[in-house]
Amino acid sequence: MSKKPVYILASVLTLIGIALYVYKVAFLGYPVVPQAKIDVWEIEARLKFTAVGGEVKLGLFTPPGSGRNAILERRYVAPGYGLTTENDGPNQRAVISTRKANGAQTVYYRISVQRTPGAPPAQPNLSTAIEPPGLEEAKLAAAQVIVRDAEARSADRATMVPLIIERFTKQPRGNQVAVLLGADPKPRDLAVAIVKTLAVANIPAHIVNGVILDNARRRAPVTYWIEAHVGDKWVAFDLKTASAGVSDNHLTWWRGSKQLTTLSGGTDLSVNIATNRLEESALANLLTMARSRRDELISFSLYSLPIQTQHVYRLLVVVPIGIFLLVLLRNVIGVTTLGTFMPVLIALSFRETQLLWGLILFVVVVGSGLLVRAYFETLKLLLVPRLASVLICVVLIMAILSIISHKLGFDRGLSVALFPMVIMTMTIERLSIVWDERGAAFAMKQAVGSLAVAVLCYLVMNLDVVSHQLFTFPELLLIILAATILLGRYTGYRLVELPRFKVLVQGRS
Amino acid sequence: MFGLTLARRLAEKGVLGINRRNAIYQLPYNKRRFYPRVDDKLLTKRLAQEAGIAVPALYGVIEIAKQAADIGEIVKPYEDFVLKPAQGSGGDGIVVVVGRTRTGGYYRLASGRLMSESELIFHTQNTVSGVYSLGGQPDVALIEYRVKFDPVFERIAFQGVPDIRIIVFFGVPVMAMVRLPTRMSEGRANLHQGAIGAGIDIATGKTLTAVWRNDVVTEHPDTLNSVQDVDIPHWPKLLDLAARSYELTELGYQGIDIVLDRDRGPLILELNARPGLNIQIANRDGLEHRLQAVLAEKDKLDTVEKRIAFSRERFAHRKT
Repeated sequence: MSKKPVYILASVLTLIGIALYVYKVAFLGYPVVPQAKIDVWEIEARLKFTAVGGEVKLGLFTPPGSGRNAILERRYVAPGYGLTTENDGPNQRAVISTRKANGAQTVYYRISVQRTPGAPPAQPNLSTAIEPPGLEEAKLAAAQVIVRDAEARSADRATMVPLIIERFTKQPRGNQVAVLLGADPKPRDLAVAIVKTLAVANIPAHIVNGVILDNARRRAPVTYWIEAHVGDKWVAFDLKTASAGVSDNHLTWWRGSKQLTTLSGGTDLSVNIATNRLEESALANLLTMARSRRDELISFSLYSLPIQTQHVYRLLVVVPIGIFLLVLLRNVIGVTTLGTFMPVLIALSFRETQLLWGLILFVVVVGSGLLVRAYFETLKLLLVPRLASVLICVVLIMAILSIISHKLGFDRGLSVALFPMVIMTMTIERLSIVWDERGAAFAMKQAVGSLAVAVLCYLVMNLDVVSHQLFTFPELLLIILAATILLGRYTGYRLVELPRFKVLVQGRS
Repeated sequence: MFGLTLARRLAEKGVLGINRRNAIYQLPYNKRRFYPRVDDKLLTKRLAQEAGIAVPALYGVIEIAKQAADIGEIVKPYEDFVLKPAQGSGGDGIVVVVGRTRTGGYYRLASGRLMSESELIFHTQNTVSGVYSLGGQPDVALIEYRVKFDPVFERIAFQGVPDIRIIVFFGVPVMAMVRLPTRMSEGRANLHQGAIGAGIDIATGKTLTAVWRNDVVTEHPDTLNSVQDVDIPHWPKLLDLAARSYELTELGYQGIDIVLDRDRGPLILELNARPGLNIQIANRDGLEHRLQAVLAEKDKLDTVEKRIAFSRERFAHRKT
């Protein structure tokens, strides 16, 4: 069997991989290592609706940008639609329209935001006229009680506003607040009620709608805070802490109590906002420039995908590294593992829970699963029903673990629910079969071996360098593929075979 | 760089590693579609019987869980028998019944344990549902003749089942060993469980030095009798069985496990498409040179007789 085709294939793959990599680094200026991060965020609003067949007009408030959150770029993906912008009071609105549309429509609005923490907040150019609160009699009376109470305990407007907010946010709520909020208030209702109460107190105020840029989120919720005019300027008040000033990571989207979107000519509008932190400035700048130049080769990159899909690929591109490592450990070192790719799957699930917790949860869940299985063995259940019963018990064990750790205040325990169920199931099933066939000692040896490999894979797959390189330069996967193909024809000894066969080359004893 | 030196010396000696066995010998010369001929013991047995090769007689087959209840009926005429999964691996799931108790109708196992009929039925049901099969697929259970071991091994085996393993490459027996159970291996013949492996000189059928764990030994650790220079009875017959196994399975590289029955002589117990590499340790020699020698001349070796003659001439033990 000639190895020649294998070598040729591997060299071709490697050459293509290296050529693309070098081209991207040397000519397109992709950064090789993750650089010092300046805070650049990509925020994407996805609007889906069903057009009814005629003229469609979709309005969307857009973030104004400020010294703290400078908008680097705005981009609309709305094929077949025209775009105009207009002012609506303090806000900007983008209006996307078309003469005729039918069926399901999806429109994207993307911005990149550069954050400069510590910069002074923007002063909105807003009139301080007070909108009548329009409260019915009982609610008006309740608001007046709250205002009188706050007035009595404060020196001026600046100290009075926090006192009023506190009345609304403190638990348990007082009677007046309950009257104003009604049953089951949403966060937005709370902000609306506070603004109305401030109007009763003759303090100009409005709601600020925005998103918080703390983690990359696939579904970022809209967050509400308020701005009140005190001491001749607008001051933001955080509703959670009931104090002046909001944290740097609040991105203002629009002000006032209007809805984010308006739609005519369509139904079933749904809006999803996703946020993503771009890894480094050089890359962000590069991509921004490439987009403006409409550079096809650069735009043919994983970064051009919608943010939600990018999240998935950040995970997927590191899987081949783990698998390559596994091939190395099995065929060159000679480690025995449970199932072929199980350790890589376990390593993936560690990414959801962090390593230490992942290990603890894994050992506890799989260990209890095996104990339950050992008991079922004495009941003489047949194979398939026994495996099914073990599975049901595993779900119960996971549920109990989550409840206990939540009660103890470890929120990490909750992520066991995210711990991929299928992986646990398969591990227990395979471990049980090995246990059945080869005994407890062999099963333990395999389990420990698999966990060790999983930890190693996790550590490598979790390196920032690895994930950055593979996501920025997916062509590196070709090189990994080449190396794996070469390993497929590795016919040398496995490391564990050396001590095993050592006796063969030693002198007679 | 001690590891590299060691690897180089092993390669010079022709010691075969797992990767090399798989890539150079097993993958190219063992066609996937012939694997069932060795993995399914029922099929092996039928093929062997058609070819007139001696195997333990089949008493009955249980194919679905419902039939398991009939097992008492099937084994009624026989004093002793063996129950085994058709697609088991590594000896898992095999029950050896040596007799019955006078009262209570219990089965007496080779290990001395007693098993009730309902336990035997449950074990059979598990076997059929695939607990012991490769990959856990549904399986069938075989009930067959229990081999009565030739007393020749009594002096050098502790309880259990000694067997003879011969590696056969394109019908040429290339290396052989006898596996002797010890107290440590609890009567099993697997080397990694503590059995002794003694290499066999292909030319003469006499045992060479033996390996126990990782040490070279000359006597059995339990019986203290010498395991060296023991004549394996029926040796020409054993070589003949091994050489014929190629026509049986058409697998280029395979291992054949033979037991010696007191009354019926050598019987093929099973064939293996992925035989282990421990045989090299027992023979203190590598497989590679012998396999290459066969590869170089395999086209000329077109009859069983020629293959055996080639084997006895080329693979005779040379004193070093």
